[in-house]
Amino acid sequence: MLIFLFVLGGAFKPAYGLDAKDLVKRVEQQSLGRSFHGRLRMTIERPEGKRELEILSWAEGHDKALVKVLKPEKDRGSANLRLEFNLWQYLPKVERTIKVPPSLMLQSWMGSDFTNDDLVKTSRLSRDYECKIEKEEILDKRKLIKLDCRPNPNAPVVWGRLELWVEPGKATVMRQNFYLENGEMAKELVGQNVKSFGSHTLASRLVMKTIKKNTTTTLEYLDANFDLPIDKNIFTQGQLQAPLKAQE
Amino acid sequence: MNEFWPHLLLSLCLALPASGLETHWQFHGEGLLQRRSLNQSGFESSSTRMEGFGLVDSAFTASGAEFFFEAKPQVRLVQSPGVKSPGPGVASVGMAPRWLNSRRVIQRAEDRAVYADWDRLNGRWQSRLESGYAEISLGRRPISLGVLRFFPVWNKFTLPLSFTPGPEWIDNPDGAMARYQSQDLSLRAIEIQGQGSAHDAVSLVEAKFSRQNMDAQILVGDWESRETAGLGLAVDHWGATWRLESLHFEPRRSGHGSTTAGTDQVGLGFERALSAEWTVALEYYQQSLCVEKIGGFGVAPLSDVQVLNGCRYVLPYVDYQINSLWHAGIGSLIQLGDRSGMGFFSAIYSMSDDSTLEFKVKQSFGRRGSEFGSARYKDPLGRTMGAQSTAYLLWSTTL
Repeated sequence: MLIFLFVLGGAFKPAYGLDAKDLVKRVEQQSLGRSFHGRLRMTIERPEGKRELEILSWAEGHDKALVKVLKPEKDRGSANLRLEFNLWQYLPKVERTIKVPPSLMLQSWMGSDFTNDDLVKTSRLSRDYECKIEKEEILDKRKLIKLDCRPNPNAPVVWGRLELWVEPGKATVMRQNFYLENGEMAKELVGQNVKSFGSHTLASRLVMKTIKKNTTTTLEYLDANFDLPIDKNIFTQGQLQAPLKAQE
Repeated sequence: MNEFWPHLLLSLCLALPASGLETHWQFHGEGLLQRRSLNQSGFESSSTRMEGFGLVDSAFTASGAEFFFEAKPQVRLVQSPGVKSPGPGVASVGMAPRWLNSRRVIQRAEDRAVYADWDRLNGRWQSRLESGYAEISLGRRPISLGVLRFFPVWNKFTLPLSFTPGPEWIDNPDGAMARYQSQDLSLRAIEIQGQGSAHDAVSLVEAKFSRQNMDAQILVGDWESRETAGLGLAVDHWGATWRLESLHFEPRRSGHGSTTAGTDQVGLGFERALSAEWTVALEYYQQSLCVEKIGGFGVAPLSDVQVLNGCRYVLPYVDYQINSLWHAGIGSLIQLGDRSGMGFFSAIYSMSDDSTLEFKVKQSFGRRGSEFGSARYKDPLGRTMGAQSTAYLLWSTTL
C-alpha cells in the first residue's frame, strides 16, 4: 500500500516552471503514446472471493481501442471495441456483436472496479478537463506534482473532479482520486512498480479502490508495446470477432 | 459420412499442434435441474415434473496468422422421470438435423435421451488486403445477425430466446461465409445449408456501414425459398442506443413449411444505463402474419421464419449488477393483442474464475385461449395445450 510520507503544505507556485496543460499532455503521451498493444492481468478482490482476468488490449490515439479477454476460459474471446464515442460488445458464445449505449461507459467492466470508460478511455484529460497545478507533495519517497482537474462545461465525462499526483520528470501518474459531482470521493487509483516500456515509463501495477464498497481491482501490465504501427483494420467490427491468435 | 468425419477431425486435432499452429483446448460442462409446468390436459400423465439436463463439450482451436480451425464435439442428455412418450425435454436436447448429418443417438428411452454432435466445426481463412481484409469460413459455427437485443427479426440462427422455455442451447447452422471489411464498411455473404433440400437453404448478403454514432445495415437474399430484404439501424442518442430492424418476406415459392404466405416483421428498441448498476431496455415487435383472435392459436408457429404468433409485442427489461459476483435481470414479454405473455427473472452468480451458477424463472400468464395462456390450443378430442412455465438452476464450468 502506498503511504503518504510527507506532505508539503501551503500554496505552491508552478513547480519546475511547469505548465499544467503541458504536464497533462505529457501525462497522456506517457500513458497512451501514439499507439499501445499489450497484455494485462486484472485481479478483482472481494470479501467473497478473488477473480483473475487476462486481457489483450490495442489502442491508437484517444479514439480507438480494442480489448479482448484471454482468461478465464469462460470469458475467453469476449471483447469490446471503441471508436470515438461508439462502443460495441462481442459475445463469442453466439458470435454476436451488439452496439451498446454510451451511458454504459460508467458501468463496471467485467465486475471490476474499473469502468468501461477506464478500459477504453473515452474521456480525455486534456480535452475534457481544466487542470491546475495545486502543490508539490512527497509520496512514497517520490516528489510529485498534485493536479486538480475539473470537467469543462458539457464535457462527456463521468467524474465531477479528479486529483492526480504526477512524477514530473517522466510524467508518470502515481495516484489519482475520482470524485462524484456532489464532491464525494468515489475511487482512488494508486500506481506501483514503475517500469520503462521502451520510451514510456509507467506504474506497471495499478490498484483501483472503490471507496464505498471497499473493493479493489489490480491491473498489471504483463507486456506493453508503445508507438508501434497497428494495422488500421484492427479497430473494426470484423476484427472484434476475429479469433484471438490471428491478431496477436 | 458419419463414420468418416470424426476420424478425420481427430487426426486433424492431433496433427495441427505439430504444424506450428497455436492450439487451444477448452472443456465445458453444464448441469441443469428444471421444474417444468406444461399447462396441458389429456396429452401427458403429468403436467409438472422435475427434469435433469446435462451438457459436456470440448472445444479445440488451431490458429495461425491467416488460418483458424475450430472443432467442438458436444454431448447433451435429458432425464425426464415420469414421461411415457418423448416429452419437450427431449426436444430441448435433440440437436436439429443439419446439412452435415453427424448427430448420434447414444441412448433413447421413454424418459431419457443422450445425443452427440458437433456444436462447431469450421475452418476460416483471413487475408489482409491493401484496402482492408477478407475472410472466408466454411463449416458449422454460430451465425448472428441484426441489432436488437431480444426480438429475432434478423437473428433467427442463434435461437432460442430468453422467453422460450427450457435450456438456452442453440444448434449452430452449417454453411459458408465470406466477409470483406474496409474501415467503416463491412460486406458479408452467407450461405446456410438446411437438411439437404434446396428449399431449406438461406443465401444472404449483408452490408454494414458504421459512421459517427450510427450503424446502418441492409440484408437482402433468399430465405428458404422466400425473397427477403430488410434494414437495420443502431443509433446512439441521449445516452441510449436506439435500434430498428425490419425484414420483408415474399411468399414462399416452393418446399414444405407451415405456410407459404409472406410476412413483414419490424422491431424497435432502446437500451440505456441509468447508473453504474442499473440498465433498462425496451423493445417493440410486430409482424403481419399473425393471429389476432383469442382461441385461434395452434401449437406450431404460423411460419418457419417466426417463433411468435401474435401481432404486436412489447418487452421491457431491467438489468441490475448487484456486485461483481452477482447479477440479476427481470423482464416480461407481453403480447399486446390478448395481454398474455411470459415474465422472466434470472440471477447469475460467479462462483469462481471457472464456474457460474444461474437461477432462472420463466412464468407464462394469460387467459384461456390466449397465446401464453393455460390452454391456447384445443384439439378435436378436447385435449388442451398451453404455454409452459419453467424454473431452473444451471451450473456451468469452463476449463
